[in-house]
Amino acid sequence: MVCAVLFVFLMWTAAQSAMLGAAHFLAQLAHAELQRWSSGTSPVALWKIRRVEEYLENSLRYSADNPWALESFAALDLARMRASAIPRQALAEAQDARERLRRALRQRPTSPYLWANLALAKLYLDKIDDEFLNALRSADQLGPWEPTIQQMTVFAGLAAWGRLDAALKQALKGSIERAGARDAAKMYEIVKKFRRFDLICADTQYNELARQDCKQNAGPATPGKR
Amino acid sequence: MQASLSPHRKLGKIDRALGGRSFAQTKGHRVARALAAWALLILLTPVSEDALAQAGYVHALSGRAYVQKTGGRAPLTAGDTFQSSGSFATGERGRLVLKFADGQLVLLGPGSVLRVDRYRYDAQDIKTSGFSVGLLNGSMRFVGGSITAQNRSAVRIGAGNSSIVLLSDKSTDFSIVVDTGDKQGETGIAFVAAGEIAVRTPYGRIRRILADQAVPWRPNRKEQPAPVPLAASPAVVQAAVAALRLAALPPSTPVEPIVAASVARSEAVAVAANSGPVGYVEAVSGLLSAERGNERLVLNVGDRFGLGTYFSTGETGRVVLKFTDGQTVTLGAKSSARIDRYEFNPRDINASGFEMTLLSGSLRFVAGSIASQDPQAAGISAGGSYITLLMAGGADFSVVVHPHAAGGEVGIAAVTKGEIAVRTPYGIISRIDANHAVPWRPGRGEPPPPVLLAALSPADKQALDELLETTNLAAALAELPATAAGPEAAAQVVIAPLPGVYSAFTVTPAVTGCLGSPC
Repeated sequence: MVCAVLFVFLMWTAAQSAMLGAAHFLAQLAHAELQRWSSGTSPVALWKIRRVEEYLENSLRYSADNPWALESFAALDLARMRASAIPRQALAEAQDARERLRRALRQRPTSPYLWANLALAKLYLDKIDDEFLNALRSADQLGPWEPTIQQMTVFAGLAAWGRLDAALKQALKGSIERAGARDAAKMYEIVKKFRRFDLICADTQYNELARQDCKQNAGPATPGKR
Repeated sequence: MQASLSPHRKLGKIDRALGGRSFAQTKGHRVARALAAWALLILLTPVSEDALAQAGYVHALSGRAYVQKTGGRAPLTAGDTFQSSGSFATGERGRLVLKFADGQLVLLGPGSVLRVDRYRYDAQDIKTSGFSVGLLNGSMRFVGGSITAQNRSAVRIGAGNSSIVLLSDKSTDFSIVVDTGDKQGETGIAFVAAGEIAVRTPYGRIRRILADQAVPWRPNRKEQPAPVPLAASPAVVQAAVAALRLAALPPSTPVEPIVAASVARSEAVAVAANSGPVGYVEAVSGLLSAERGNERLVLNVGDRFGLGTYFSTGETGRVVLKFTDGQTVTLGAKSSARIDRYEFNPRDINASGFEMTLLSGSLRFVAGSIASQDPQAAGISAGGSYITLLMAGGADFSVVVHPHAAGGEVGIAAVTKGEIAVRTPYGIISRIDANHAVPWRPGRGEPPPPVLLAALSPADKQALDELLETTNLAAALAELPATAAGPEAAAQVVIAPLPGVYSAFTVTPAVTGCLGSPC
């Protein structure tokens, strides 16, 4: 009797493990495909997008709250949002991304990438609220030395600079400073896009890159004002 | 100019122009020469005046576009010229590219109205040149020409209740979207691709928008946002701007409108003549007549048809048309319809579109790749009503319309799959879900809310029966051939999103994040 119960339990565990394994495998396939797209320059065929969607849907069928699949799905949503020329559709994609990231964060609240992506999704939804500020803060605290996190938080933060509190502004300035040591060129590109040279001109790490812009744009900046 | 010259000088000029030295030598020929010259002058004068009055021309258009004239509006076609003032409007799926004599370009997006109040261009005296245009509603991309580059102080550009000030003499390229229809107040978006502008909105002044920056404005907001790079703008802003920047524009160099218009017209005619078939007849029963231009066509199963084809079915006629993207349109008995626009680019679905007109009778529409991927790319006029699709992922709906019924248009729309909206002469039906239907008729005020097909009121059922000449709507709809293209057919076609969308992000950080340990 005990053996039978044990056998059933083992079989159940094996089935669960197999399903989780399948879910992770499919999420990994989707992730690899997404990575390939983001490093390529040619357009992606619709059937490939659908295939990735199927991977992720199947992955979530095996494991409904698989954070890997949810994060990749959110990345797909945001990429489709950028591709859209239909405002309502773009909004829906950004909303889907936000919901998937929220679900993923319930499973993996210590991932700075999920927090940073949530901040981006909120930015695209034009929802600069407490959740946005918290997402930025969490991403910065959980991945202070991750170059991608530094870039994402500074990008989202500069877009909403006028509505950040002093502590968060200071934290992002810290990210810019740390980024100078890791990937100064990329951070310089972001700062340049926002024309916030005032944030890097005093930093010697950016001297080489920003000298010209700092000369041309000398004078105090007035961020967040119209 | 010509009226101020003496006849002798005129004749001399014309004579010299004709090179008629020997012709002028004999006294006897002078009278004949004078008569010929006057005749030539009379012939040339209207053309010259016309040429002088032309401010620009329609470079390209898709869908429907109109020019406002006294007593109504007239449809525009590529190559039409326009004078120094006038109003232009685009239909719900229309796009219009206007090119002005100084090279300035205006692209009007769908559902937009543009008023040109004043336009004067003198290449020899740019200081006296200037213009004033206003986007009353909708969306517009503006690319500056010689006037904006050399005399921007003489430029007035309005957008809804806002006004735009050019801050740069360099090339100017910006996009504006305004919606003045909201009771709460104006909503707008400005994006600058080149140059610098300022915008005075009803909620305050946006002092400076630099290249690659976008900014929205809307009512009921304590603080209006500051301009940010487009990539960091809200999703709706990015999409609205992308919609305006999909179309390729000609170079913004000065042109002679009459000449350029003639070229544009010839090109449009050549494109239409060379446009291949857009679909084929999949099934036909009863009497079917078809025309394209002045040509009468005899269409049988398997025969292909092109853009602009007009179909008319007889008492018991029925025809199923299949399009290259997999979409099918079935016309019921005693129906007439015309294919107005069909562009299918499998590599760029955003450049594709479909528009047709059901003049009278019944029609069933099953979406193919175009409408499944981009519902906004498809539109159907049905009598005085207009149907739009609301959802991607496929649609299957039927519409019956009798625009000339006693008292006004009578119609019904029934949806089997997807969602649609209908603008009727009596009001807007904002959404009809699957398995629902809405009838519209005169004397009832606004159309009633959608009801389940099975739960239509006896009065509506009776009205439908009369329209469909049958006793059961569901049976009548089911009778139409099931030619669903839907997602299955769409999946066979390779569609690519906008180039570069999935390419490496240069400034915006990659959104895929990090998977697995140690993240």
